[in-house]
Amino acid sequence: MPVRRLNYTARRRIRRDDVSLVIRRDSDGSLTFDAVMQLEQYGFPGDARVFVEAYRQTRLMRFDFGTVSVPRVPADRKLLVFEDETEVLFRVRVTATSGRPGLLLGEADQLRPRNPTEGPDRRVPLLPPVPGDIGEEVWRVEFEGAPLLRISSLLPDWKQTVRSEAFRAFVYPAALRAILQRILYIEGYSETDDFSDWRSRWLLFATRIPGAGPIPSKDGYDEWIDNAVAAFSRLFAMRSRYTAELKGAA
Amino acid sequence: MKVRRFTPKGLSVFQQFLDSCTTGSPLPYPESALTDPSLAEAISTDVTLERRAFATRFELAAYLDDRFEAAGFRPPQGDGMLWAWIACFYFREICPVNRRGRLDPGASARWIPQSSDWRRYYRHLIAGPYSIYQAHRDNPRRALALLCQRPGRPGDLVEQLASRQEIVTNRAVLAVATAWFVDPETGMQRRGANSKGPGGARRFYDVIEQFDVTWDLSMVPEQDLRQMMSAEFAPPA
Repeated sequence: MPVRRLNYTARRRIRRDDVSLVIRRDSDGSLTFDAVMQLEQYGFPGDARVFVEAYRQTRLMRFDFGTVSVPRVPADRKLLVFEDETEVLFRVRVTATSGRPGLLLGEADQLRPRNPTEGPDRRVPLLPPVPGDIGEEVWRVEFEGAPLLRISSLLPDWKQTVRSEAFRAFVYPAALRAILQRILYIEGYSETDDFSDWRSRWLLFATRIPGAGPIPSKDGYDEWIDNAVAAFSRLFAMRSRYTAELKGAA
Repeated sequence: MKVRRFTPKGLSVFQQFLDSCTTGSPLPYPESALTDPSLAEAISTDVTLERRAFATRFELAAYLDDRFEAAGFRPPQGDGMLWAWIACFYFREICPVNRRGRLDPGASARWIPQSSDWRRYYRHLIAGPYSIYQAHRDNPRRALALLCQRPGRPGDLVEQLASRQEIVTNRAVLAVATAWFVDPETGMQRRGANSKGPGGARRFYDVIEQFDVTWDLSMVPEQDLRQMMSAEFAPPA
């Protein structure tokens, strides 16, 4: 079980809604990004530095966006070390320069950028489907922080597959079970009050499914997960919709 | 031999070979898959690799960097067919052998990259060390903590530290890890580095993760980080 990390210095979590990131291709084909941050309401010192980091695996680019009181958008925001825009994640960090220099005052992590054609969306997708080469597997749940639903990009039409009732019925209840087991058993996490934490968002989602109920003590995890998955399947009428699809195809 | 990349059929042949190594009747090493035009295709640049042994992951990564650089080739990190071909090419040089003298390749992700899976990319025995070397190309020896191991046996230190993006990309953190976990005289990993107790990889990871909650570690100089680390991780005088 992971060791729990303590936020001794009252670092603030910057809300996802307060950061807008758009990734696009310039006319020369290079990747670049735009970032707009609303940080006034957090009470950070004016001289605190603001950084935006783009990262994936061993690749990291860090951009200096000036200070809280004097924001400065860097002219060069090209994401040169990344091959494509898929799966580039961002984090925003606000760092002290006075008092205790280097102290992390605020952070938003695992931010997924929009592309320019998408409008701002205040909803946080719980399980975004993302295509990728996963060999002979059709789907799997992957965890890099928040979970994502990896779909084989080698399918003839992965988007169509994801939309089918058969896929929904077979995959989503199993994915929900895997995610809840991961949170409760592997991560040892059972809080629902930190909306900036993906685990809280998932647990909150599960507890709000009619029939699931609140998270019990450890001894009741297995039964609660079973109940939540069954309630989830009822809520979305998984079997009925799958059956209707079968009949429609017949 | 000129570097190629597998076709889907070639990758399948390599995968079948790897799978067979976990059974009582392993298939013969698929040498022909490296050159058969239906199983491997040319890449855009002429790059030549020699079959040779490597004492460490560092030596392997430095060799590849040298060969790729000489050819003006930037291998795409996401090209699983390419990295799988290179892994197949060096399979006999780097695959560990178990106590019974049989090939023990381990998980498929060690040979065929799961580059879409963030959790496992670093496990690839070729692309893993190469990408770490590249991330610290200004001073690759800084990353020796993750590169000093034998190519086929990275161990728990690599598992613990390379799996975290914040750690593997941070210069100061890796410099401190190298100072602590690598013997400067031998260039080899210190005994106990893979232990789960004090001074081991997992404890190092936990301490750094706690610091990462409090500090912007990209702004903390190496010397300051050394002072912040408990006496547990002070390099021997």
